[in-house]
Amino acid sequence: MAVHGLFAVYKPGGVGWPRVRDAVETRLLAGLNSLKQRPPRQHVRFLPGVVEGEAGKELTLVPTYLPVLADHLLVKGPRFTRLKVGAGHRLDVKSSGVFVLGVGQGCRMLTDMYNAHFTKDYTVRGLFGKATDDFSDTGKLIEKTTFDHINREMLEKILAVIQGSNHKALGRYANIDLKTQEAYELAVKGLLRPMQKSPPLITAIRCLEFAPPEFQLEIRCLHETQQYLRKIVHEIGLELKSAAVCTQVRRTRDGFFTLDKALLRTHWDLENIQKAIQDSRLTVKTELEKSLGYLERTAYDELIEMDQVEESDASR
Amino acid sequence: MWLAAQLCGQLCSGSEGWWRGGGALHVAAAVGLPVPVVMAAACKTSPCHHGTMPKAVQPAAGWQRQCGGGWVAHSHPCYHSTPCGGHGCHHIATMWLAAQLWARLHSGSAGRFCTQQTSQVSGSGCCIRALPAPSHHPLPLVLPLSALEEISEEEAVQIVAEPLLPFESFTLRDYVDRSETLTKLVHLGVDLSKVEKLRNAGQLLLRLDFENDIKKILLFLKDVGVEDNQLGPFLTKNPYIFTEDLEALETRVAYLKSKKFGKEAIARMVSRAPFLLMFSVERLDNRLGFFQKELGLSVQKTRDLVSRLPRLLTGSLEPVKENLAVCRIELGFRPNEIQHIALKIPKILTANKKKLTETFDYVHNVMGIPHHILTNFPQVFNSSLLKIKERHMFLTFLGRAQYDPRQPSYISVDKLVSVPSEVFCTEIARASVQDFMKFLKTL
Repeated sequence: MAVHGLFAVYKPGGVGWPRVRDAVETRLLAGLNSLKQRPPRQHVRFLPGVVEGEAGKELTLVPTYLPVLADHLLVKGPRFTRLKVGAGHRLDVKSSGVFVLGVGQGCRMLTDMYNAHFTKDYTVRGLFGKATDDFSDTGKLIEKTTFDHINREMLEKILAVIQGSNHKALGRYANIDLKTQEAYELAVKGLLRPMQKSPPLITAIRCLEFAPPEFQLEIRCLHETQQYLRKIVHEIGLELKSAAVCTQVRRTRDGFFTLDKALLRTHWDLENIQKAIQDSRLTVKTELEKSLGYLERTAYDELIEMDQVEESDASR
Repeated sequence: MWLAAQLCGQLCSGSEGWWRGGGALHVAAAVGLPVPVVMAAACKTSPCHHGTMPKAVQPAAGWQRQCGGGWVAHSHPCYHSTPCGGHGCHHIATMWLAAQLWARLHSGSAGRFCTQQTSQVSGSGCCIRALPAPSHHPLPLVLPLSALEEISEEEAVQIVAEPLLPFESFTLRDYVDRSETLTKLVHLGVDLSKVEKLRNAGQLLLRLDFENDIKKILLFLKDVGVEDNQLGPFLTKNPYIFTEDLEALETRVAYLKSKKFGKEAIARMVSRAPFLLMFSVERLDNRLGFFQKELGLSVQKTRDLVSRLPRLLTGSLEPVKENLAVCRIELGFRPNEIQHIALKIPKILTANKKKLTETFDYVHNVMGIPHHILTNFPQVFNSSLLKIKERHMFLTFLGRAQYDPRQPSYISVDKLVSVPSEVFCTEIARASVQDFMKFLKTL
């Protein structure tokens, strides 16, 4: 069975994504090379030998069927030495979560996934009372503040403001008049989003947990970086007349890959990856078609128009 | 004329001994070649001939130069080490003759062939086995008795028509089917695909003769006590041992014996550190002295340390010094503690410095395990930091992270890292594996 397709792994925090990709590649290669190999070719060698002939023993060349030694595993080396493993939307070193990888032909679908501009879900943990230079808890401490005055209502008010301003930007970058039927239909299907590059956009944000000084947010966004999300936490802290650092950024969904589909570090082997690819194959296909549908439809319409023009030319 | 002479010379030149000048001429005469001068030459062929870098070879007989204005000294029909007056023409002619020879060998009737057949078969050029025996020594210069001598059927049948070997190659795959040495090494378990990546190793193996060069080393290794199934991996790592002098090797083993290493200890050290016997006695002595002095160990303990991790002796000493400094200065272990740790897990001496400090930082500062417990359970330093983190966080989440032996429900650090995750879940964390997996996805 060929290994081609998309699957998701759970990237642990503190490990860079290239290391995750390489680890997956190494384990896949080990798995593939441990499979049953093609038997060596056979070739005919003329070996000198003694044959009983008419006049006693005769020295002749005896054709012998021998396996080709050049096909021996110790001579030709492992069958697979490299594998195309591509990475989907990146995660930086400190963040953890769902990380999409493509194997072989599946790498093409990564481009499709990029072009589909899916939204992603994150859970972000914050801590009030501190501010650091890189907005994370391991950075250099810049200031310490009080946070006793903050309550849940204040936090949610700020979150609503953030969501409102981002929603306005979403309409602007989606390149579509929000008062039209088309925009309505897209919004109903949940496909209303910018289809080209845009600044980071937050489509939804809510507070999951509030236990000062800690709090946890769930953010649905697109075109983001993990550092942008940390900055959001920092800014929330400033808006609340305090300061906040981000202790964890964790991606719980990337497009149609959810957390329960992601493979843990101990499951990165050929068998599990094959199963994951097999399971997600149908979803990948339908989701990509659905999201890219309207892009392709326009291209398809153009093709039909061209065909019609050619036909009319021919009939004339 | 010179052409024909050269052809004969080429056919007769260097190979195992069944190449008789007479044979070649016999063929030439049989196929109707005008043979005006009977010349046979045994050329000196370079030892590396069937392998690798072609060397310019000198012609053995001076006449070649006179009649041709150049010479062809190599027995390969397509290859000339020195410029030849005839340019490409004799190349084709050689192939033609080769084809004739092949045709005669395979049909048995000599008179049928004439020059018209040249065009049909000349493309192949794969008929002459021009391979000298893989040998160190240049072939002795043997002049055939008479060029006109007819060869018998028995001799003719020994002329094997095989495709030619490439003169240069990036891999040993091209030669393994035809080289006795390589074949035997493969059957021994040597991974040629790895050996050929080592510097000069492929060249070295091709030049060796199994009976003369390899056998004695293998027997020596068997005497030392290397297991049969270890020979392959050993030679894969260190094919250079074939270049060593047997006496020197024996001296080194004798030195190890004089240092009171047991027979099994020597066998294990040699098979686990294949380069050990490449080191001279002085160097080995220096290195043993280094470990004894740096760690302040007794002789017996040094022996234990080195026989547990023999690659300490063959590896670089600089990282060992650095690791000891890291343990002493950065991690703050006392010298006797370092001794204790190094004897328990010698791997710490060759570990990555960064990994060492990161692990210690987490275990000591986050998990709060003091130095004396770490000294008793140094296995923590051997395991991966991610694993320690995951397990510690799970235990913290469950409220079971208790590493102090004086308190109840104590969890030993050794057990925390060494057991597989199923055992960890059931015995230490007392939770289901599914819960552990779910927890890992929240980190």
